[in-house]
Amino acid sequence: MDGSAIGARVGEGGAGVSTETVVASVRDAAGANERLRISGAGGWMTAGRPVQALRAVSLAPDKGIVDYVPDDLTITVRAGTSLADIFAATRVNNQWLPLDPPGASMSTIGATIATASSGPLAHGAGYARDFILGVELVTGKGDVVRSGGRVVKNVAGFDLMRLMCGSWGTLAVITEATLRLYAMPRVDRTFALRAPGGANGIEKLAAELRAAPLAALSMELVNATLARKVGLDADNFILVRLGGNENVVGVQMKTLAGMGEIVETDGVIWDKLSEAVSQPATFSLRLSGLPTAIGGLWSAAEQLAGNDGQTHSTFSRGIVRVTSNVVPDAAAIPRPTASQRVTYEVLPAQLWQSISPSVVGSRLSENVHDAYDPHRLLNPGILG
Amino acid sequence: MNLDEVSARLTEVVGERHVLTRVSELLVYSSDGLPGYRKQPTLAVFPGTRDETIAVVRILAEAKLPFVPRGAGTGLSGGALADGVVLLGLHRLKNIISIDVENRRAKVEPGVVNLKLNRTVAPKGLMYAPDPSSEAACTIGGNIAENAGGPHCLKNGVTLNHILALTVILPSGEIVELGAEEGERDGYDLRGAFIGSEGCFGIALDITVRLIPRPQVIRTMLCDFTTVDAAARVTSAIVASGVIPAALEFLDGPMIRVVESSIYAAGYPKDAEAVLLVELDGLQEGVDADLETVRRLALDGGARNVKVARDEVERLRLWQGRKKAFGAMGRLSPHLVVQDAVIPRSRLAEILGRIEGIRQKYGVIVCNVFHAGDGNLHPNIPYNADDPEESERVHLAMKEIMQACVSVGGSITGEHGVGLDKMGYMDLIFDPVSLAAMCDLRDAFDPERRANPAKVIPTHRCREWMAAPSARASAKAVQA
Ligand SMILES: Cc1cc2nc3c(=O)[nH]c(=O)nc-3n(C[C@H](O)[C@H](O)[C@H](O)COP(=O)(O)OP(=O)(O)OC[C@H]3O[C@@H](n4cnc5c(N)ncnc54)[C@H](O)[C@@H]3O)c2cc1C
Repeated sequence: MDGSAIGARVGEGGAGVSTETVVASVRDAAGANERLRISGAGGWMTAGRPVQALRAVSLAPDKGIVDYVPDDLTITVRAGTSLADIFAATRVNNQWLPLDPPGASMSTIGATIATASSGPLAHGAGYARDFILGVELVTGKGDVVRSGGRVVKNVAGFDLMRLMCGSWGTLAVITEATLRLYAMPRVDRTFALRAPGGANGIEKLAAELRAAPLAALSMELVNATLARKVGLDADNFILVRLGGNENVVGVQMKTLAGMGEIVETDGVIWDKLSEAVSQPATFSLRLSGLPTAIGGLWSAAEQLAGNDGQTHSTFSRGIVRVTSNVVPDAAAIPRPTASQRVTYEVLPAQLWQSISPSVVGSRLSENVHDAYDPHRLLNPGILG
Repeated sequence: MNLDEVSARLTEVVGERHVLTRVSELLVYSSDGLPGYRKQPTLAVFPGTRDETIAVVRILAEAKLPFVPRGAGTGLSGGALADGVVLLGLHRLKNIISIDVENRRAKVEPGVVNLKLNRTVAPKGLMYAPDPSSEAACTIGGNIAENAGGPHCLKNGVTLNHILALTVILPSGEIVELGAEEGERDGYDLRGAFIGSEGCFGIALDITVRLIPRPQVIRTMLCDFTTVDAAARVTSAIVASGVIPAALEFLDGPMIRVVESSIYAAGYPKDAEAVLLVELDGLQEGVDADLETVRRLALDGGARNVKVARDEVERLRLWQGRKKAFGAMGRLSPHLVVQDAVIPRSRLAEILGRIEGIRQKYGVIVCNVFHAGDGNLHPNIPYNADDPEESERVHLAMKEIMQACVSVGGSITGEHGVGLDKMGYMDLIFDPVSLAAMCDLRDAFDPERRANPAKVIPTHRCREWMAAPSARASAKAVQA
């Protein structure tokens, strides 16, 4: 069994999904004592621990913009709205949601929040948890709950929005979200900086970039396999995206040129990267630690990637991700240590239990789980 | 355990000087930054170390006593008031445990004062971004609890965006690690849930904050206007232009005149009906261009004058008027309501107009000084609380201002928290089911409901409220 629902039969896809129908699905499932598998566009159903559920609810049909006030730089959308649709709607006003997780073009906002997914833009702009202003949810009890609001600053009430980020649908189904937008940079240019191979070299370059007067939108290190897929030579590169006015981009470009060999690339390289790193893989995980420890994390990931695996890193945040179609021996799969955290994304079903039984096993997490989904109806077991 | 026994046990842990039980001694702790409220704790205890704090919380757990965490007591919603319960002060925990310059983070105890942290990391070229106007006194622990903001949060984000990890002692005495000092943490974002929990989820024992590089250049400008409306429209225009100033602050005519006739005079034109204080920071080349954009928007929008601070002295003087605005109001009248509401930024002119109408209707003074770029209003009303008739008018005016903000899709608090003061407004923006769901989150952290009881969520909105004995006791105390 992989992560997808087995024998799903109720509420599968189809139009007419709304908060009310989600409530009905949750209540019906509770009544029948059956579990529910929640999905967005269905692009990453292999991620997470195996879920056994007889019923499924896809939020993808519940899409659309509820409210968009360009002058407020805020947008409220239904959970099934894709990031591409948000991008298209806001771009006409030179605004954007700077969030580019793998597979960004089709990903729904609901799933992006639920999985706390991010991409290269996390370097300069942060994560979904930093943009989210309000949510509407349907809990595992079938309650419709709102937290936050539609304004950009708000501390009224306890924060259920952040709680949704990374909850993988196990507490509640996100049905709507309000997000903060930003003005798109007037000038947006991308440069590829050739990077060394070994841990030491990478650590040194990362330190130089950290200390340099740069305010980049993204700085993403990619390995040779990925570099080739996005149209570069088969070598390690750091892709640097600079934004702002002409002058500020110009001066940063000069700084960058002083640090090594750079070539300007077309901005579509980011779409190609997002596409490449979201291709179905049988094995993927993230290693993370202190930004200064990036060399070791990178080497460990590269070893896992082997010849054909893809490795990329938002190194300023201390994160390295590897995706591959070759599953390493169980013994070779990294475990968390004092200086290295591991977020397992996709593993063969039989390995999960031995490698990472649960990430919500603490008493406090159990209490939170009990508060919103006491009967474990929603995506049961996906977090362990 | 009766209170005397608890007091004796606590004294053993923290020493006699740090346990207060006499009414005269407790008086200092019967108020916080919110004027007009006085609540008397039964006992106040001030641990001096992390271990003492843990021991204190565990004794209170054993005795099943409710308690209120307190930092510097600058909070403006009454969050640190202890009404017939124990007050647990954390201001003695003021060690900066470590600073990691390369990885841009620092680990601090909760009683570290915000400005102290910034002064310590400044020589290393770093800063802790959230800068509440109370930065000289408020603690990082209090900032976490309130999810504090500040003038420079427009560009850099609020407390929530700058906290990497926390060690928390739950009211039960259990210690939990939330977030991660390094790397990503899987599972529920309990760090996110804790930030802004107003002391109701437990006590932060240590906090790992993110530091950011100090900007290369900072330019500060003052734009002055002869109408509030023009200044409001220019604010909206700056926001819509996509330039993100480090700060975009608004002071209206009455506020300007109060500041200018105080010792904090900042050189704002006394005959202006509004000024905008705009700060831009970043790389030199970007700042220069943005400065021109803002200048043009201001002048096109009717600014009478745009003045750019020539040096650091002039810059700090411009800021002094803003940062000390609340202090300056002290000389107007004995009491002051400091309000905190948020509106969509495009509705600023409209709402300021409605506030002016409400001011006239109730015959009160309103001084507006606020974080305009975020739409975070602070309409302040100086008054005499000993005059019941005036107090009633002030109360009604505030309520109507709040309703006006909510009616355009706003919120009842942007940074001061709900505490005691705003509980009555929670029903304006949340339905009963949502409020109950928030109570459920508190119950996950504190099933006995002993931490900061009867705050934030109106008690009648919590499911099975009557089931929790300590909460029942404190709810009664509040009603009394
Ligand atoms: C003149 C003035 C200007 C201000 N300007 C701003 C501003 O610009 N922006 C802004 O956001 N706020 C502002 N404030 C409000 C206030 O300063 C902030 O809310 C601040 O974060 C409170 O910190 P404190 O240490 O004084 O907390 P306290 O007032 O002591 O406590 C506030 C809350 O935090 C809880 N608490 C304290 N320490 C802990 C801990 N270690 N663990 C768990 N809970 C704890 C308390 O129980 C209470 O609920 C201002 C206040 C004043 C008086």
